[in-house]
Amino acid sequence: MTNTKKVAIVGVFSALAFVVMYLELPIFPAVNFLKYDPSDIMALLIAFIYSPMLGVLVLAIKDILFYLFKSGDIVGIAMNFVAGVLFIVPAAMIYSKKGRVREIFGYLAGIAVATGGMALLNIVVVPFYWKVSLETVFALLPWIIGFNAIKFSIDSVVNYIIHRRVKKILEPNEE
Amino acid sequence: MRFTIGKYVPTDSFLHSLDPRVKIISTFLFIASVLLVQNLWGYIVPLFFLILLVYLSKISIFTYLRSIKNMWFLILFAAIIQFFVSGLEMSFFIALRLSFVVLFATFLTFTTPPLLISKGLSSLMKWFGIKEKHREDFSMIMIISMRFIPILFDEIDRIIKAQIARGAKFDQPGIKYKIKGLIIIIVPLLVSAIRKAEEISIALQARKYGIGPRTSYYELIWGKKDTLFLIISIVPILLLLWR
Repeated sequence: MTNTKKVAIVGVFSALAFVVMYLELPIFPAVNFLKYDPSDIMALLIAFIYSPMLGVLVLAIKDILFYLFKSGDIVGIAMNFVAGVLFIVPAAMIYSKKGRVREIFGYLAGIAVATGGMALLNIVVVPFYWKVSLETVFALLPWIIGFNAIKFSIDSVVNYIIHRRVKKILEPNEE
Repeated sequence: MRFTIGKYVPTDSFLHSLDPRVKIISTFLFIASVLLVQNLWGYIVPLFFLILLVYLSKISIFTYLRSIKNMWFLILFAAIIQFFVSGLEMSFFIALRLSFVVLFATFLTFTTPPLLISKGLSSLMKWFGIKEKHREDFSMIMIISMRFIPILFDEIDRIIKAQIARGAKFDQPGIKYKIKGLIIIIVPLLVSAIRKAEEISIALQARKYGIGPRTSYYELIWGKKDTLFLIISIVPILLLLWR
């Protein structure tokens, strides 16, 4: 792949990821600020079709754009970025373009790492940022774990369905 | 769908004329200082500096306050939890803390155009030892994606209308329909976006992108006033640490 094509595709996919962030919908009505948005799918596609590094780049630019154009909540944006990286990097590393079985294992590993990692990160960050006691965080933890698990499962299912088709459009000469 | 690009408010103030790099650094310093505040009285320091920033940027305080509007649910939620856990004083404390973080973060986006922020970011990456070529690619990617946002919003609008015209039901309950709804929006969007990306890549090649160093019409210059502002933005952290 030439350099200009890489620049153009990563740029357009970052914009896509930012745009689909507006399709956000809350999964649990009770904790309304945990919203699902499909933007991680774009980064996942790039990570699967090209390389995990480019997927992380898409995530980073999406989150910078989100900060510039929409929200000022820097801590929340950084958490979103970390969650995305924790999901995409293991999934894409395990898959590494080798068949459906490894792909499914990749998703499972990604979901496990991201859910566990985000639970840990919430235990560390939330008491410091919100100044609440650890017990309150533990009370919220099931919501957070459930939210992340559902969010990344949806991403996995959608990506499983579309990523081969997208690859055919992106690289028609291969395969 | 209308979409105004960015939150940039153009005026001719002192803050607008500063180097974007110094504004990025001081934004982080100001936010760090908010996180260092220990009790309600400690907020006098960030409040003073926020008023100073509002005055220097010649943007009305109400424009700043409007930026908290997006966040009201999170702030209220944190305040209510805090109220039941440890009382009224802490609930004010946490609401102020979140609001100040957002206000200081929006100061950067209000006073700096998005293109200058991306230029500043790619210039700051030099300090982390990232190669010139990769930094150029990064800022090019940022510029492409910023230019593409409004185009893609129009595209989504068109796709949703087209799918509704074909009989798609987006308002049905259930996770199965939600995923189906996502796929019938995302796949056509991807196809059209990929087609546009191919065109951009050919256009970049035609303009010899990546062959030889890239030059810029607008160079970032670090002046005396930038150093002065950097010193000012260290003051709140020092004040709060010293107390």
